[in-house]
Amino acid sequence: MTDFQLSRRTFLKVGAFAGAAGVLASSLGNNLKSVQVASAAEQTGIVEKIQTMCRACLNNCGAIAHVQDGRVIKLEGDPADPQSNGALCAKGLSGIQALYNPCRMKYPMKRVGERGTNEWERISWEDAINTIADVLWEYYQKEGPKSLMCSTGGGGNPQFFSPHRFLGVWGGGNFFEPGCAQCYLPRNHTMPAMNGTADTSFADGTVTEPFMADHPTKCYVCWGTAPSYSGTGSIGQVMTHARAAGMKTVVIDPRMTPDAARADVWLPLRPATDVALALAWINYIVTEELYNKEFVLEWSNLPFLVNEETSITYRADELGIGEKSDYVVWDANTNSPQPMPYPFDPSLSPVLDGTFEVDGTTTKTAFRKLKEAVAEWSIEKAAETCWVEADKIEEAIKLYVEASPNAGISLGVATDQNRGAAQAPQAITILDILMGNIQSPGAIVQDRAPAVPCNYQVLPFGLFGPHPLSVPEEEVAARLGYIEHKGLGHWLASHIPTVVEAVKTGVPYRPKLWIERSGNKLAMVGDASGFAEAMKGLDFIVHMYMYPTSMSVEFADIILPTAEWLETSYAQDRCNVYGIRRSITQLYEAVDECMIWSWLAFAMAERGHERFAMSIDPEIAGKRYGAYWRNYDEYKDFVGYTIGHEYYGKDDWDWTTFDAQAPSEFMSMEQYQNDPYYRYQKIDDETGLPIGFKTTSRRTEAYFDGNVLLGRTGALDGSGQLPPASVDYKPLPYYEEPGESPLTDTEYPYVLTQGRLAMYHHGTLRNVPYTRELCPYPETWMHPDTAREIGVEDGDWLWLESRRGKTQGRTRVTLSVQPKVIYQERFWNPELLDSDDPSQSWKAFNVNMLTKCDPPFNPEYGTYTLRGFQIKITKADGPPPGAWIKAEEFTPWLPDASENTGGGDAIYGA
Amino acid sequence: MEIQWSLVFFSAIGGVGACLFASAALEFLLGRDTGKQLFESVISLVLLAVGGILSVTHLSHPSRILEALNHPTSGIFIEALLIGLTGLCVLIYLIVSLRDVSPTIRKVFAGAGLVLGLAFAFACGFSYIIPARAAWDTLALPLAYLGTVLGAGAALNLFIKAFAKNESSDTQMATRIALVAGVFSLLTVLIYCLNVSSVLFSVTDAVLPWVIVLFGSLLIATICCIAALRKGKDNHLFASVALLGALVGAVALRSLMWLLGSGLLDFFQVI
Amino acid sequence: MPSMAHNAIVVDLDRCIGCYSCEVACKMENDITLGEMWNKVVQVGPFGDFPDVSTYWLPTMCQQCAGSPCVSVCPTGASFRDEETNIVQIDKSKCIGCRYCLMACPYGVRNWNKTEKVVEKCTLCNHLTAVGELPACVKVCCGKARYYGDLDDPTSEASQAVAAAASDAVHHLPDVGNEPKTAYLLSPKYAEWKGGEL
Repeated sequence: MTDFQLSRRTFLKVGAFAGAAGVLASSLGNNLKSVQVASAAEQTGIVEKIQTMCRACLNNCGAIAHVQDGRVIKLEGDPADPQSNGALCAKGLSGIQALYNPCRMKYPMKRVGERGTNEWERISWEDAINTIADVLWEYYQKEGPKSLMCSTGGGGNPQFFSPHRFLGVWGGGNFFEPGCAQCYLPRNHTMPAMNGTADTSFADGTVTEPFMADHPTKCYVCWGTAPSYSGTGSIGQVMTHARAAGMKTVVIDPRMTPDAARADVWLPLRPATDVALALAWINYIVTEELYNKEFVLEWSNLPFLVNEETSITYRADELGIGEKSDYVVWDANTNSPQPMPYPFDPSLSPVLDGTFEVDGTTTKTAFRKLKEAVAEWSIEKAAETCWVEADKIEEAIKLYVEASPNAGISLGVATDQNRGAAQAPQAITILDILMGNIQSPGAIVQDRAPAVPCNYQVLPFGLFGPHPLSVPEEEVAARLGYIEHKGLGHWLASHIPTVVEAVKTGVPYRPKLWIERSGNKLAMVGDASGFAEAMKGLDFIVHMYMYPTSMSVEFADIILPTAEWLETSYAQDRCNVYGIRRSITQLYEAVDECMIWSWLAFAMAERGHERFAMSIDPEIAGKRYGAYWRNYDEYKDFVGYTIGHEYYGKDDWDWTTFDAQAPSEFMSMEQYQNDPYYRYQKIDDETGLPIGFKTTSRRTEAYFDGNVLLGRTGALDGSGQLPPASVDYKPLPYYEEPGESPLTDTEYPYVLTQGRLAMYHHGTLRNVPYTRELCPYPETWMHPDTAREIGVEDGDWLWLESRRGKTQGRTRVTLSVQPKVIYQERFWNPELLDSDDPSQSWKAFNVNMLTKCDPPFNPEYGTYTLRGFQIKITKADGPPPGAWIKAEEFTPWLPDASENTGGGDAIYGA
Repeated sequence: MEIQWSLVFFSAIGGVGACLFASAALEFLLGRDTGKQLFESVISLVLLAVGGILSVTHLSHPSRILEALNHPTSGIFIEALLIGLTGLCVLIYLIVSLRDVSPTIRKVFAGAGLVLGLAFAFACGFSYIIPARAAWDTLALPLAYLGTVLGAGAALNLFIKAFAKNESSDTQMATRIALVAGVFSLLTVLIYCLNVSSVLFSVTDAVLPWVIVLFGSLLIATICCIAALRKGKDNHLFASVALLGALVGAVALRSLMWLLGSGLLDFFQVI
Repeated sequence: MPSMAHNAIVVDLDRCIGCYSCEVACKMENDITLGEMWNKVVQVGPFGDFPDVSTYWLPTMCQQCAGSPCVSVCPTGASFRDEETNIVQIDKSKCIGCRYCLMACPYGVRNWNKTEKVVEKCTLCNHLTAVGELPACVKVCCGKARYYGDLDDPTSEASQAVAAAASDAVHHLPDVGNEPKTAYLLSPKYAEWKGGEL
C-alpha cells in the first residue's frame, strides 16, 4: 500500500513547461503535451494521519487521510464522526484515484481551435482571470447584468452558493442548476414553509433524528429515497442500527433498493404517482380519524376557516370580529366564528371539520377543504393508479400511524422530478402534521436544520435579509421563468426550459455569457440534445471543473482547473460535532472554485464595477458573508471565524483556531438531541408566548395558503410585490397523471425511472477506475415479463427511445422492478471525449437523451420530467463503439503520482 | 470451466507414451514380440518428454518447481514422479534391449515401466478428484483417464506394428491388445459419463458435441480394431483410423472434463 | 506449537447494504489490478413472486476453510497455513502458477494475478491485523456488517456476532468437506438463505 501510486506507473510524466498547445485527453495520461515537474518533497517515508472530511457526495463523512511525503496514500473513515463512525463508502474511498487521476484539468487553458475541436493553449491564471473579466466588463457595460448566466451542480466538490453570490454582486442575470427544481428545492422550500421546522432530506444533512443512540424513531417511511445509496456511510449505516433495534420501515420506491429489501413494507409504486398514493394515505387517516387531534387542533391551521373566494384563511379583521393577527375558527360553544389568538384560546371549542355560513357565504374549515380534496383517493383507487397492492398500502399506513408521533417520512428526490414536485412535499408534510410528527422525539422533522441547505459556508449576500449587495428588485423579477415559477426564488434560481428558450429566441432577452462549474451538464439536464443545441449559440463560455467533460470539450472557450475535496478546506457539522476538511495537498494549478469567483470579483472591481468594489470591502460585506478573498488563507480564516461565531460562541476565531481543535463537539450529544424536541412550545422570553413554528401563522400550515400567496405575490405571507403567475398555486395537494402516461401511451409502452447507485454521486466518478469497474455501463433493469415482451435476455444491449431521442443500456432482467417499469441510472462516458465524435460522451449512455425539458411543468418550481415518462426499447447489436466496458480498459485512469504544488493559490492571488 | 489445453495434451500425450510402452512391454512379457521394440521405446520416450514439457508450459513459474520437493504428496508431485520413473524405466529398457543384456533384467524393466506407466496415466486423472468440482470428484475420472490413453497407446502400438513390418512381432497380438484396450476405454468413459450424468445433463447444450465426439471416436477406434483383427495382414488403414479415433477420444475425454468442471460456486470467475 | 485459532470474517447480511465499500477498500488496501478481486459483493436475487421478493448482498472472499483443499493440492506449499495465526495464506514467491488451488476452491474466491502470474486471495489483511488493526473491509463497512476474529475464541467480535444471532440465521457456504469458517448471518424474515443456488 505504501507505494500505491508508484507500483503501476512511472513516477511522473516529465517534460519542460512551455506554453504548449495540446488536446484535452480524457483517456490518456495527461492533458497537456508537457507537464511541469514540481520539486519532490523530501522522502522521509513517515506516514501522517490527517483528519479531514470527504466530499465525494453531500454527506461529508469524516475521513482520515494517510499522507506520506506529501502524498495521500490511503483513506479511511474517521471514528470521531458521530454519523459515520469510521465507515467510508466506495465513493469516498475513491478519493485517491480521483485526486491523482491523470486526466485532471491541470492548468487554465484557452481554446485555440474552433469550438468543439478540442484544441487548447495553456495560459496563466492571471491571463485567464483578466480575459474573463474583460469579457464580463464589456458585456456588463454594453448589455447589462442580464447578459450573464452562472450555473453549478451538486457533484464534484462545489462551493454551492458561489455562483449565486457572484451573480448577486454582479447585479442580476440568471443562475440555474439541473438539480434545484428537479432536486431538493421543492422539498427544501415547501416542507419548512408548511411545518415551520425543516424538510426531511437526509441526503442534504437536514435529518439527524435516526442518528440518536436510543433510536427514538419507531417507524421511518423512506419515500422515494434510498439511504443505502444516498447516505451510504452515514444514514445508510444508521438504518442498519435502527432496524436492528426494532425500528419499522416502509420503503416507497419503484425499485428494490437495499433498504426496500429490509423494509417491513415495500410499495413498488408506478413512477411519478407518489402524490396519488400520499393522498390516499391522507384520506385514510382523515376518514378513519387516526390523526393526532390535539396537535391538529392546537398547532395546525386546519381548524381555521377559509375564504372560498380567495382560498386564503380568514383573518379576524376581515370578518370584523378581531385583529388581523388572529385567524378565525368556528366555535362550537357559541356556534359562531371566533378569532383564535395565538397560540390557543382554551375557552374556545374549535370545530375541526365543518361547513358554515359566515356573513351569508359558505365557508369551510381548512380541515374540511383537505378532506374534500382527498376524498376520491380511496386505498383501492390508489392501488389501481399506483400499481401497488391495496392491503400493502393499508399495512404501511398502519405501521406509520401506530408509531406516530415517534415516526416520520423522509421524502427523497424522486418526487422532485416530475410535475407533482410541489404537491408531493405538501402531501407528505400534511401527513406528518396530521400525525403530530413534528418536533416530537423520533419525528424526522426536527428543528436542527442548518440555516442554509447543507450548511454551505460561502453565502450569497442578502440571504438573511436586506443587504447593500442584495440583487436589485427589477433584476430579481427579470430572472427567466421566475414570475411563473416563484418557488425558484428560494434558491435564487431561474427556470432551465425558459433559459434555453431565451438563449434560442432572445425572448424576453438573450443571455450571452455562461460561467459554469460542475461536471457534465449534458449528462444531468433534461432533454440534453435540446439544451446542447441552444447553448452552442452563446458568445462566451467558461467551464471550471476537475476533469475535462463534454462541457469543456464541446462548449468552453476557457477552462479552469478546480480542486478535488482532498485539496480543499471546509467545515461541516456532523450532529453535535463540527468537522473540518483540510487541504491535504494541492496539485498542478487547481484551486477551490470559491477562489475563482473571488479573483474575478477583484478583477471586476479593478475595472470599475461598483458592486464588486463593495464586495471586496469587509465593512460593507460584513462578517457573516465575508468580503471576497484575495487568497485561500483569507477564505479559510473566514470559515474559521464563521464556525467560531455560529457554533462555538467565539468571535475571534480564524482558521488556525478552528484547525487546532477540529473536529470537536460544539454541544453535547444530549443537548443536540433533546433541545429541539417540542421547541415550538418553549416560551419566548420577549413575548411570554410559545415560540411556535416558523410560518406565517406560527402554526403548522397543512392548509398551505402561503403557496397561493407565493404565486400571487412572490412571498408566502403575501407581502411580495411581484406580478402573479399565470395560474394560482394550490393550497392543497392534487394528483395529475404524468404528461406521458403508460395508461394512454401505446407507442412508447414503458415508464422509465432513474435513481442513484452506491458507487456514483451525480455525474461524478465515471472516470475513477475502481468505481467505474463496479458499474462500467448503465444497466437497464426490467422485469422478466418485460424482457419476454421485448424479446431480450440478460446482458443484451439495448436502444432506449423516447420522443426526445435515444440512447443505450444493457439488459438486466430482475425482479427489482415491476412489469412495464424500466429503471436506468444516468451515465456518461469520459473515455469518448477522445473519440472521433466527442458528443458520444454524453449521447451513448445518457438517459437524459430521453428525459423531458418541456411542459407540463410543476407550477410552483417549474420542474420538468426526469422520471415517470414513456420510452420504447429495442435490442441493439452491441455496445456503443468506443465505450469502455471491460475493467482493464480503465487502466489509463489509474493514479499518477503528483506532488503538492500548492495549487493555483501558490502562484496567483488577487 | 475453460479447457486447459496444455494440461489436456500433457496427460494425453504423456499417457499415450506410457501406454504405448505398456502395450509393447506386455507383448514382450507375453513372449509375442521377440524383437527389441526400439521404435516403441523411442516413441514412448519422446511422447513422455513432450508430455512433460507440455505440463511445464501450463506453469507460469516453472523455475520454482523445486519448491515442490517441500510438498511430496501433491498430485503434481506424484504425476511428475511417475512420469519421470516411467521414462527412466523405458530408457533403461531401451538401453538393456540395445545391449542385449539378460532378458530377465529386460523383463524387470518392461514390467516396471508397464506398471509405472499405467499408474502415471491413472494419476493424471486422480489429481483432479476434488470435492469442489462434482464432475471430477469420482474415481471414474482417473479410470477414464487411464482407459482412454490405454486405448490410444495400444492403438499406437498396433499402428507401429502395422507399419514397421517387424517380423519379430505378432501383429494379431498387438491388434488384440488394442481391441481389449479400446473396449476398456469405451467402458471407462461410459462409466465416467454415467457417474457424472447429472452434471452432464445440466449443461447438455455446451458439451453434447464433445460427448458425441468422445463416444463416436472411441467406437470407431474399437470397430477398426475388430476389422483389423479380421483382416489380419494389410491392416494399415484400420490401424491408422483406430489410432486416430483413440487419440481423439483421449483428447475429447479431457476436454469434456474441463467443460464439466465448474466449481460448486464460482464467485470471481477467474478460471 | 502452531496456533489452532480459526480467524475469519463474519458478515451480517441483515446489515449488509450492498454498497461495495468492502470491495473497493480491499482493492485500495491491497493494490489489486482492475478486473481482479479478493473480495466481491454478489447480489443474490431478488427472488420470489413480485412484489413479495427478497434479496441479499453476499460479500464473498476466502472462507478460511478448516479443511483448506487449496493447501492440500498446492504442490509447493505456496498455499499454506500460517503457524502463528492458522490463517490460510499464499506465499506468492513459491507459487508456480499451476492453478490447482483455483480448481480445488469450491467457491472460486481466489484471484489469478495476471501481471505476476500467481494466485492471490484475501489475506484477512494480515499486514494490518499483525499490528492490531482490523482488516480494511471491516473498518470501512458502511453497514457495520463485518466482524473479524477467532471463531474459537468466544470473546472475539466474530464469535459474539455469531452467538448473538438466532440459530436459524447462521449460515455457511455449502460445505463439500472443506468446512468453510466464514459465517453469514441472514434472518429468515429478510430472505431465505440460498446457499449454493445462486
